[in-house]
Formats: sequence, C-alpha cells, structure tokens
Amino acid sequence: MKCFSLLLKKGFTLVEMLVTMTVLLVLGLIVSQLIQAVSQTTSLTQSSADAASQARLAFDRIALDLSFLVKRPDVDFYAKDLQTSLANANYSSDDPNTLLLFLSSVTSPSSSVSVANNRGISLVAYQVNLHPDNEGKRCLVRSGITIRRNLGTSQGFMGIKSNGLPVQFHSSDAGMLASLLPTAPTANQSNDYDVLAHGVIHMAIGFQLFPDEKSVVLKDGTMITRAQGQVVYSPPVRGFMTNPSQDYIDVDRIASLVVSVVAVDVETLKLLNNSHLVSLASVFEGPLPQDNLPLKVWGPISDALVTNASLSTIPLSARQSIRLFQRFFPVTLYQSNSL
Amino acid sequence: MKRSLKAGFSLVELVVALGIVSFALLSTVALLPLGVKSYKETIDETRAGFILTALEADLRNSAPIAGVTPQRSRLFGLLLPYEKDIATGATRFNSTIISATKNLMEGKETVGLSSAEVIVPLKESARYQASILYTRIPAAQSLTPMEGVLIVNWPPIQSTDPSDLTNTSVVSGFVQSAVAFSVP
Repeated sequence: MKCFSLLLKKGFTLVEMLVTMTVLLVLGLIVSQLIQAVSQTTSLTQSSADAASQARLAFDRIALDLSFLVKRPDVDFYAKDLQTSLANANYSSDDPNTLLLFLSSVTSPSSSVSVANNRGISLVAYQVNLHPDNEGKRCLVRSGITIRRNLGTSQGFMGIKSNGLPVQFHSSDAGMLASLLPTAPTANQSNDYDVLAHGVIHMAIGFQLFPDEKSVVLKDGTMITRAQGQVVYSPPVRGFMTNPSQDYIDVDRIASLVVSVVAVDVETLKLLNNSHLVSLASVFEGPLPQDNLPLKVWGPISDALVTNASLSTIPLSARQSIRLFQRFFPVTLYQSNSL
Repeated sequence: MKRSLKAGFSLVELVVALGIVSFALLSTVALLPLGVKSYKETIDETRAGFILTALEADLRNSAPIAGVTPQRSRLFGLLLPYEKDIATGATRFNSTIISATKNLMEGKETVGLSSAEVIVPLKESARYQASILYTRIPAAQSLTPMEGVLIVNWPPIQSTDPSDLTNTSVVSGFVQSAVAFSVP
C-alpha cells in the first residue's frame, strides 16, 4: 500500500512531459505533412486516371461502332467539318452539334421494335451536348437508332438517287425516313441520346487521307493534288457541287479518322456548371492546320488555361484538370479501296 | 513486480517498442506511393495505347515519295516499309530495310514524343518513345509480307539496343503491337 501511493505520487516531471510533447508534436507534424503530400498526389493522379478512363470509354465505343461501319457507295456518312463555319456546317446533318452520323451493323435495343423486327443495324450518332443524365451539363452523348425490318414506307435510309448520290441522312431528303434521324437532347429531355462519357466536354474529328496519290477536294473547297496520307480537318467529298448541301463525304478517300477529346475527371465536373464547360470547350474550338495532330495545337492552349483571364470565373483546380487525348481509327485499310 | 514498476521501462523495451512503431508507420507510408504508381501506370498505358494507333496509321498511310532516302512517315518521321522506284514510279518494299534492326537510330527507327505527342529529341523533354522494329524482311519478288513490331515505352531511353525497349528493368513500362505490311 505504501509502495502504491509512492508510485502514484511520483508521476512524470514537468520537464519529462514537455520533452515528450515536443517530440510527439514534431513527429505528428512530419507525419501529417507526409500524409497531406501523398494524398494530394494521389488525388491528382486519380483525377488524371479518371479523365483517361473517360477518354477510353468514348474511344472504345467509337472503335466498336466504326469497326462495323457500313461503308458502301449507296450509304451516306457524315462527320463534322472543323474548317467550315457553323453557318453551313450542317450540310449533311440536321443538327450542327452532330459530330458523327453513320450506319453501323451494331444492334441497338429498342422498346418500340420487336426482337424479330430488329435488323441489327443502327444509325449511330455522336454529339457533345447537354443531357439530363449529366445534370444538364454538356458531355459526349451517343445515339443508336435501330433500323426496323418493316419500314413500311417508300422512304428508307439508303439507296442511290437519280443524281447518282445516296440518300442523305437529312430530314430534307425526300428518300430519308425522318423518324430514323436522332433528336438531340435538351437539358431535361434525353430524346434519342444516352450519355457515353460524362467527362468528355469537347470532341473533334480529323481525317487522314487515303494515300492513293490522286487529287482530292475537301468540303471547305481546298484542293489537294496528291493524297499521300495528310491529316486534314475538312472531310474529302465525293462530287464537288456548287451547293454545299450536295457534297457527300467520300469515306473511300479517308484512311483513318483522328478523334480527339478534351476530358475532365468526375470530381472536377462537380465544381463546374454548363456555362463553365461551354467556355472551357470553346477555347479548343475552331480550325486546325493540316498535318498537325490536335494535341500539338491543343497542348499549349491547355497549358495556358491557368493564366487565361477570360476564364477567371472557373476554379483554378478545374482549369488545371483538363486532359487531352487523341486516337486513330482505321476506316479504309491500305490498298483495300483498289479491290 | 514492484521493482520493475518503479524502474519504468528499460532501454531494451523502449528500443523494441520504437522499432515496432516505426516499422508499422514506415510500411504504411511505403504503401501510399505504390497506389500512385499504379495509377500513373494506367494513365501511361492508356496514352501509349492511343499513340500505337497513330503510329500504325502513320506507317500504313504515308505515301512513299520517289527519290527520298530514307523514306519517312509523315507524322512521326519513322522508317517507312515502302519506297517508290524513281524510274517506274512503282511502289516496292523499302530497300534500305535490308535486315532486322540491331541498332536503333533516332529519327529512323525510334523517336521521342512529348506529352502532347509531338516529336522531340529523346534527350530532352520526351515523355514517351515510339519505335518500329522490322522483324521480317521478305526477299525480293517474294509474296511474304514485311513484319514489324511497334513499341511505345516510357520513360524514353538512350540505348541503341532494341531489346532494351521492352526490358522492364530499363523502362518502367511499354506497349507493343505486331504489324504486317503486304506486298505492294
């Protein structure tokens, strides 16, 4: 008993306590600094990995759709022309937002078409547009409208017209069944489109010319005397007419499509509203020079976002989280168009 | 028992306790960068995969130009599988590729790429390295295709030995794909 009370009374001295606390404090500080640094790096790499997976999601779907592309002279193909101003850019598509519109032998499930009636081919479209499933913000959206077996009308979606050109994917074409054309989404109506990649806020299409060494005319009027594999941003056309609405993209003259995207991660997306995304994407819009891949042009633009005064309302961390990706998709294989 | 309570902890006990604590702390901290590394690997692998598609499209679709030696691809300046005969204008396999590559040459079989996927010297700010190794060169008049391997590795290396590109003790990662070029 005597011993116990002595032990309790002894305790630690003030000096001992001070030393212990200081040591603990220093240790705690070091560990917290370390953890903070690590967690910062982790979240940065995580957001970067997330943006990469957004791009992969978009590219993998485009690769799948394009690998089943119905590439025939009696079937239209549409891709957005970067070089031509918006005013007449909608020459083959009703909606100027449409980036790609083509026929692909992929199956699209449809509630209004029975399985027996589903031909397993679809009119596929891609847009970057606002969508209710992305809280009304812009993102990459995809539409796949199934082609029914019994269209039951004189109109269809393919075939050569009297002028020797195929039925256009456009509601003004008398041969085109307008119900097969996708309706663009609005902030509260998804219509025919589904969200493909939440974080993809801008997408551009380039065209690598098929190297047949023949002359080729681009949609914007540029004449290239020898197609040698150049990368251009206005699609090669089939017959150059005076009326731009009659120009058809010649898929046979396209060796590969160059698709490039501007992506942000999901965490950053939470900080931004649609007008933020629109102004961020607008920095990357506009024509691109021939034989320059999009990343070469966009890279410096993306680096300058931090100091861009016109974007000062957008959080700095969001401007630092813009990631760019590009990928080639073969459309016409080498030597295959001479078969 | 009483004696040991009075005496507090011995030095040995303290050292052992400190050892255990620091071991536990250190191993926890060591785990954190591992996660970061695997994320970085995913990002690099994704991007390198995209670069591979560009490389293949570039090599397949760059038209050879008569009288130019060596024949280079348009976008990445790599050695083309084909060349054009000046006299006849006919396309044939590139005669400068006479044997499978044993020495990588920058600007011929290999180039450095920046993070914006633009050609930069390997020595400088390159983030990736893109290479084409021709592995089978068909004899003249034969109908066998030319075969090759496309490799994108990171970080870029100065070595001229092609096997270093896919040696994970030299590079931190790589992706590769086999390509075949048909007889023109």
